[in-house]
Parts: sequence; structure tokens; C-alpha cells
Amino acid sequence: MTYDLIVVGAGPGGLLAAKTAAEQGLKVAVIEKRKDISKITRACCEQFIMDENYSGDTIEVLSDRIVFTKNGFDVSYDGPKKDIHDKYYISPGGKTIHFAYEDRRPIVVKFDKGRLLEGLMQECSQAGVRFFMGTVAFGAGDEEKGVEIAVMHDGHHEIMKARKLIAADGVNTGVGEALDINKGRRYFATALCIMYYLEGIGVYDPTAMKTYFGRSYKGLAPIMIGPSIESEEVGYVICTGNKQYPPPDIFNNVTTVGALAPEFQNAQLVKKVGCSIKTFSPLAVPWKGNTLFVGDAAAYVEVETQGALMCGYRAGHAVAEEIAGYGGFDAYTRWWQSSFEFLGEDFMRVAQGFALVPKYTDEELDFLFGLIEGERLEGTYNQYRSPKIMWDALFRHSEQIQAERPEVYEKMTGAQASLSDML
Amino acid sequence: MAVKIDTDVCVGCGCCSDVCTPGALELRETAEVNQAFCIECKQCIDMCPALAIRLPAAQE
Ligand SMILES: Cc1cc2nc3c(=O)[nH]c(=O)nc-3n(C[C@H](O)[C@H](O)[C@H](O)COP(=O)(O)OP(=O)(O)OC[C@H]3O[C@@H](n4cnc5c(N)ncnc54)[C@H](O)[C@@H]3O)c2cc1C
Ligand code: SF4
Ligand code: SF4
Repeated sequence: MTYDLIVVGAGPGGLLAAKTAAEQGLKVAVIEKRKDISKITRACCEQFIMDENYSGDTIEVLSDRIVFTKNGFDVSYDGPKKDIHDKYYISPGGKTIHFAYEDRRPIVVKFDKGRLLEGLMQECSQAGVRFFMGTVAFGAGDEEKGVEIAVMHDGHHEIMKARKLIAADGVNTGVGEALDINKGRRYFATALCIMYYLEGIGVYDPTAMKTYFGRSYKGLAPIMIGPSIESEEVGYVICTGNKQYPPPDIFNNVTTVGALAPEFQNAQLVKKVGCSIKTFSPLAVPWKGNTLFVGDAAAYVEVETQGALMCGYRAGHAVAEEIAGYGGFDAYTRWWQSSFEFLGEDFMRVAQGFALVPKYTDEELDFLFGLIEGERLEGTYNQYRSPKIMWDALFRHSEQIQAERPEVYEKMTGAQASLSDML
Repeated sequence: MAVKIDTDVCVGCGCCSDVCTPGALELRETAEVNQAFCIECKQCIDMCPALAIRLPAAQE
């Protein structure tokens, strides 16, 4: 049987693409390696980002659906939700930088991703999409007349065929690798990450996201502690490292010897989820031949759940238009390029320029964070904007830093200098 | 021979199978190796955040 469209990956991007394409009358199949997508085992904080115009859209979270006000569609969701209003950056000695909106609107809204995906899967089935669950796509070929996908299911290998292919298989896109799409992309690194869900973390606050900076944690990124959607008592700790500094070692360090260790004395592990992230520069043109690369598969690190939903919605239409001969892939490309920040001209350089914190000693971080403790910095989830807002706030204290800690000031201006050099 | 997965530490994230070009890895509760297809390329080992994958000791 030849499908009009095969979608690899039943994440938010793949599911909305499959549903949209099926509603346009296409014969669609989805290949997904998981057996049960309602059980999230790949790390995700499960938060909708409420920043205005984030990835080109402003979303509204209503009681039964999420509205994408600019792209003009909505997605059903009536599962649990939780507003988070505060975000903190915390130094090793406990000096705290506070991010929040002045009007106290939420920075993010937590949701149950398993439930969102399950709901989307049901809508897909109603629209006639066929699912091949517990099936891994491990090879792909793309020729003028269509695509062939090699799949593995229960120890057997098989070939599936379609006119068009959507690779919505996430950041480590195996389909992309098979179709050689990563050749022109710059490879940065592979990050390894485990999210540990625990009950009884001392510093856990069910209403806030907290990020702990400092060398004593020995992570490659600061340690994040935040709330789960499942329970008021359970929080997560995210440990990010690499092959040399693997997450289990970081976790062991954080909970037994780092500055936070006493906070874990009575903590009980509830569950673990994880992921590895092969980081590439984004695909400027996210298609090749008959294949469209959707969501994280084409991104720099991630488009987030809401970005993946937008990609899926647009991609479902794009395939229908491409098959009808209207250049749907080119239209998708124009939308993709104008929506995501990481495709902006200077983004890659800026993003790296702000990853400067490892330069400072724990004591220096205490001094710097202490300067702006008690101020409210503008709330945003944006991982690249937050550090910029923090730096701007610190530089409002330049005179004091210069007078009291010239050596720290030198590091900071050195850092700024290298940032502007890079720009 | 084939790589071995320590099912006690595997978190079931599925990232190992993202890089398994011969299609030897499947995802059940944890990842599982289909010995017939594993070519011991070791790519999956570098992808595992939980350090759950090893080559049998004699070959390391
Ligand atoms: C630590 C962490 C925290 C995050 N926090 C948030 C957050 O708070 N909010 C937010 O919105 N986003 C968050 N994200 C990002 C979010 O998870 C992704 O951006 C989003 O899920 C991307 O959707 P996608 O559909 O593109 O890909 P994915 O969600 O990755 O879906 C890909 C699907 O393809 C399947 N698959 C992959 N390869 C194959 C194959 N070869 N064969 C068959 N199936 C395959 C996978 O099993 C998966 O179901 C976070 C990510 C990480 C790592
Ligand atoms: S060693 Fe290579 S072939 Fe074997 S399971 Fe790992 S990635 Fe697949
Ligand atoms: S990458 Fe490691 S933790 Fe994840 S499924 Fe594979 S073996 Fe398990």
C-alpha cells in the first residue's frame, strides 16, 4: 500500500501534521517507536510559553483548548494546567534574581503532555490516520516518484512507501541522517540530560522555576528545579552534561556534595526521564526532494511543544498543497524562516555569547547576584532573553562593580567585549 | 555479539535508537537490542544519558 504521506514521529509536530493532512483528504500513516505516547519518557518540562509573539505567535490557554492567535488554529486540551508566575536565578550562596511580569500574568502554563498527545492521536484516528506504534524507522530513501522508509517492528524489518514524507522525529532526526540532510549543518555538541522527579526537595517551590548557578554542581548547564504537573509535592531536577560529565554523576554531586546537598537529605526519587540532544545549526530550508523536516528535526535544539504544533499545522497544509502542485514546501519554508528566532541573522552568535556563567567563581556569582537581589526583572521564559535582561541589570551597577571588584568588572567587560567582537 | 542494556538504569528515553542505522534497537518499557542486527558500531553508547549501554566486557 502506498500512502500519500508518511509521518515519522508522533510528537506534537507529527501528530498535528498527520491530522491536518488527513483532514485535507490525504491517506496518511504515522510511524512511532513508542508503544504508548501518553507515557512521557523523553525529558520535557511540559510548559506552554506565554511570551507574546513567541516563535511568531501569541497563544491563549483556555479551559478546553489552546488558541494560536496568529497562525489561526486551535488544539483541544482539557487536561490539568498550572500557572507559574515566578522564575529565579540563584547563586551558590543563595543570592536570588527574580523574573516576573509586573501584572503577575503567568510566564508559563504547565500541562500534561501525555494527555495532549493522546488527545491529538484520537483526533488523528477519527480523521482516518493509520498508526504504526512500537515501530522504528531506521532507513529512508527519497526518489522522484516517492519515498521508502525501512522500519523495524517486533524484530522484523519492512519497507513502507509514500508520495511524501514528513520527518517529525525530533532533534536527533534519524530520517535526516539517512537522507543526508545534516551535511550542510554545523554540529556543536551532544548534550545528555536527565530529569529526576523527587518528593521532598527542601528548596522546592511548586509555584516557581528555579535555576541554580555555580561551579560546585559540576554540570555543563545550571541546575534547574521546578514543579511537576502530577503533584504539588513532586518537583524535578534537571542535570545536563555530556559524555565526560554524565548526568548521573552530576546528580550524585548535586545531591551529596554540592551547595544544594542538604536540601536533598529527605528527598525520595519518584521517576526519571532523559534525553540526548545532538545540537546542529538549524535547517534554513527544511525540505529536500519529497521530504519536509518538521519541528525539532529542523531546529537549533528545540521549537518547544507550541512551536512543534505550529509546524505540524503548517506542514499538513504544505504537503496537501505540494501534492496539488502549489509549491507548499516553499510556502512552509517562508513561514519557517520568518517565525523562529534561531533563524535570525545574529542569533547563533548571540546565543553562544551569553553562555558565560562558568567563567565566574562561586563567590563572584554571590557578589553579582547580590547587586540585583530584590529587583524584579521582566518575566520571560525565553532562554536567550533572560540572560540578556540579567546582564543589562548588572551593568546598571557598573560603577559599584568597578569600584568594589575591579577584577570582576574586567571579566564582565571582557565577556561583553568578546560578545561584541562576535557580533 | 551485541551491546547490552542495563534495564535497571535505562530510563526508556529512546535516544539510542535515533542513531542505530541497522535498526537493531526497539523501545519497550526500556530499550531492547535485537542481537541479529547489531553491528557493534557503539553509536548508541554515546547517546545514552543514563550510561545504560555497554559492550560486553571482553570487547571494551
Ligand atoms: C529538558 C527539556 C525540557 C523541555 N521543556 C519544554 C517545555 O517546558 N515546554 C515545551 O513546550 N517544550 C519543552 N521541551 C522541548 C519539546 O520537548 C520539544 O521541542 C517538542 O517535543 C518537539 O516536538 P517534535 O514533534 O518536533 O519532536 P518530539 O516531541 O521529539 O517527537 C518526536 C517523536 O518521534 C519519535 N521518533 C523519533 N525517531 C523515530 C524513529 N526513527 N522511528 C519512529 N519514531 C521515532 C519519538 O519517539 C517522538 O515521539 C523540552 C525539551 C527538553 C529536552
Ligand atoms: S552498537 Fe550500533 S548497531 Fe548495535 S545497537 Fe548500538 S547503534 Fe545499533
Ligand atoms: S538511550 Fe539509554 S536510557 Fe535512553 S532508552 Fe536507550 S538505553 Fe535507555
